[in-house]
Amino acid sequence: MTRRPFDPGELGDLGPELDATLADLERYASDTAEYPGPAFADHVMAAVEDEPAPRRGPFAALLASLAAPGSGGRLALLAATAVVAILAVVALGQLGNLLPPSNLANSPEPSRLVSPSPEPTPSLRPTPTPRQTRSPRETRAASESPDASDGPDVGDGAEPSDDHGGSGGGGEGEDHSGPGGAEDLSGGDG
Amino acid sequence: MDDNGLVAAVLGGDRDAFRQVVEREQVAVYRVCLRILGRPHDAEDVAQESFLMAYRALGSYRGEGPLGGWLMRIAMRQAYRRLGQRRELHELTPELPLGSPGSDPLATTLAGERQREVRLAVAALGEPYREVIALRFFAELSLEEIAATTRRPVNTVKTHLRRGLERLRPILGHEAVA
Repeated sequence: MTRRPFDPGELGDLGPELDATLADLERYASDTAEYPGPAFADHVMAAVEDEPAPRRGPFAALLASLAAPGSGGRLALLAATAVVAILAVVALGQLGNLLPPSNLANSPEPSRLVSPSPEPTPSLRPTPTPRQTRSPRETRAASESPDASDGPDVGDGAEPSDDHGGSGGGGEGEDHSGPGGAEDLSGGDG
Repeated sequence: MDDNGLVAAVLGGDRDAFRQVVEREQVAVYRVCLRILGRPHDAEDVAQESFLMAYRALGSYRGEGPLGGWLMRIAMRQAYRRLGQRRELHELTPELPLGSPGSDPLATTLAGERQREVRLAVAALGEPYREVIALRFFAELSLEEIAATTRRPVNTVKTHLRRGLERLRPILGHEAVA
């Protein structure tokens, strides 16, 4: 393998103040341009022989890396965390389905979403229809109907755009990621 | 065979394809480990360990950068982890210089000491500077390869490299040069 020395032009105008630092790094790299032993590849392949064939997929790869000797506890922790997270997502999804859309749009606090209102919603929102004055029977029927409250509520006042303005995606971080899954896994534990 | 072809072959159960990967990348991976750890025995041990980790995690390789760079990052992280463990145990263990500094005992001693200073100065850098400096000078990747491997723009890599060098300067005792 041939060395690839650093060319100061790679960074544009670096200035002379970094010359000595660059020289130190280059000298060090040059002095350490050594080779592994002749049986290196054989040793690696001997170790690989005992391994199951790798499979594609980041999650599978992560699990495989965490399953390395000495990381059994982390594996169990990861599995437990994943299960809890999945259950939480499923539960939240079901709760969301039980709530009327108006509550979701108007209440920014999660606790309000799950707490039942003591006041029945239909009775608080009388729908002004011409039939109301004509026949009490018809009015009662209309106010008890779930469809009756849906119409005005949606038009009144809910501001769905406010609720949907959640935090956007993260910017370009300084990373860590590391080498794809490998960086993740190598960063996770070794 | 290119990187993606090799990876696909390995994932398809072809272990000989992985041997090709090892034979192609072993020198680079070994050298980066040696430059971080400073000891050939440790470097070979960590390099082997890194290849094994890479094999297990090969399914997570997305083909967005060179396979060599992906391997190099695994090796670097493993090597720095090993270095951290070793420091706790053998902080004051003397090290022989690498390479062939000559027969003069004084020159040999000074060369070994300077190598150690450079190695530990890079190790002491914070991220992302340490990673970029090590990928460029220890792994000898090009700036474009570093950008592809770390999934950062080339200009960001250049900025990190420049700042890393500036941070190294006082650690290596080059303040007077400016």
